[in-house]
Amino acid sequence: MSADGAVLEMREVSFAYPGNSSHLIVEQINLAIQPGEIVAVVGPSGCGKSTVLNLLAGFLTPTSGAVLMQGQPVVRPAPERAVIFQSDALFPWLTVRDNAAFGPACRGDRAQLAQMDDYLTLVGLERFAGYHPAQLSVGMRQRAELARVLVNHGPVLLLDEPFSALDVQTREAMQELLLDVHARLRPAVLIVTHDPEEAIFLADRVVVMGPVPSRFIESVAISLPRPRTAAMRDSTAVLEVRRHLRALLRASTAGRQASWRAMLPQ
Amino acid sequence: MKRRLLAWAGPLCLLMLWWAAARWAWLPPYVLPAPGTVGQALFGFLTGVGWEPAYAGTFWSHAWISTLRVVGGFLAAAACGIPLGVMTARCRQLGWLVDPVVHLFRSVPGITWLPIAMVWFGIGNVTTLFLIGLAGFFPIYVNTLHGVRGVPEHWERAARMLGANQAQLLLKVVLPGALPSIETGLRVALGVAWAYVVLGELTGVDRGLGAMIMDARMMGNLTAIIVGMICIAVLGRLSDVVLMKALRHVKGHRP
Repeated sequence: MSADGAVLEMREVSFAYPGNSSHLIVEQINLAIQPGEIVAVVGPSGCGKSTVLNLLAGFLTPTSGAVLMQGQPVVRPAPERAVIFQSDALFPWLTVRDNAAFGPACRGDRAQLAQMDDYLTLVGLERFAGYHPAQLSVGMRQRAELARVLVNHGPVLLLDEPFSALDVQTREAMQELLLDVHARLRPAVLIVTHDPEEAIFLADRVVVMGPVPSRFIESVAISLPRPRTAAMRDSTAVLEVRRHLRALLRASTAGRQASWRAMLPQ
Repeated sequence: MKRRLLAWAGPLCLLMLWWAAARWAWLPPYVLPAPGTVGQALFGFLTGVGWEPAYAGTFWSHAWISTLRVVGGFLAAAACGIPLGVMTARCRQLGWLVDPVVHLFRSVPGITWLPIAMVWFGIGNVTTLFLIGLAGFFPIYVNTLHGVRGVPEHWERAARMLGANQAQLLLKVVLPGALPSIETGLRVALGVAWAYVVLGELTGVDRGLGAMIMDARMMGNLTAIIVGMICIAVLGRLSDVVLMKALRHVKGHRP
């Protein structure tokens, strides 16, 4: 583990796609996620939020700087840093149970395979274990994805706008399920979202990103107590933080909006 | 039920049109024999009862050898087309090397290979197998390549994140993900194989449905030619059903 106890860390990380090294997507990013902490990353569309997540997951390699997991460099994706993707990543030819068992089956981990039903029960899918993804609603598919990553017992969960495709009721139910799972298993969580309300409701800390080449422009601590309840969504504290985050996001996109206006016919 | 009725409607309409053409003599019998005549000949071809001795009861030996040739050529095409399609899709440099060559040869009509194949392999099984294998290879290769390249990146990322190694990634994600496209390639190739088995058997081999049709053509026996064509159509359809059932077993249940 690193000196300050962070389970996952970015040190001075910059990233540009190979062959286009002059165009940095993110620049000099520093981030340390403590065990059990929930960190939300918000920012304007296209600012590199998902790039940060992909760097942490090991799908991308930093152009400079380092990503560290418990003090060790991250060089490839691994079950310890479980990812839930924005788009549906369940395998359509496998049942819910076989999807959830995919990781342990690949690694030959019989102990985790034996616990499969517990995790399906945890996400409320025990009666749908034999169903295929196409037979489930979008919300149920997200639950299945959650079971698939939880069964690997990883200390870190990375979520890339996981609830953005859901309707409001399902999204709120999924957020509450995530908090429930977090309270039981206590993984460190990084969630990328474009929704400030979601970030405030879920996170201990919200990190705001600026436009490309993106840096973290502010880290906002969320002082809401846990366990969090639906009633807190409309509390004064939440509304104040939301106002502040929106002001930050508006300021970060001000330059882009001005350039759009300049392109419009007068 | 409705689907089955509609599936039979097309062939029944064709049969009625054929019957009407014979009944009202729209075409003379030496151009298009009557369905009843062809039906009797087909019965004789299958059972050995009531048709010319040269063909009566010979269906099984002709069909057996043609089927063996189709299966052999088709398996050879699949054995080359699927691995090469996967490798070309997965390795960009190999794609740059192989893909233009394949597409160059794909444009050459299969029939133009016939004289070369006869020079290389002579008259017989090898030429027929070569033609079927060559014709079946292209649709299998192209569809496999397309299917593997179309596997969504987030499926691969999910598998790698869950701990799959390269072999597991290929066998558990890439191939199942590409299977619908590979299936299309295999079905097209099987249809092509039945067309090319006739082409191969027209070259002077003594058995096979193509050889029988060639023999009937030399004798001017149009009825026998149509009987041979019907047998090939039915065998082609049966082989497609068998292939789909086998692939359904491999694919598992996909709603």
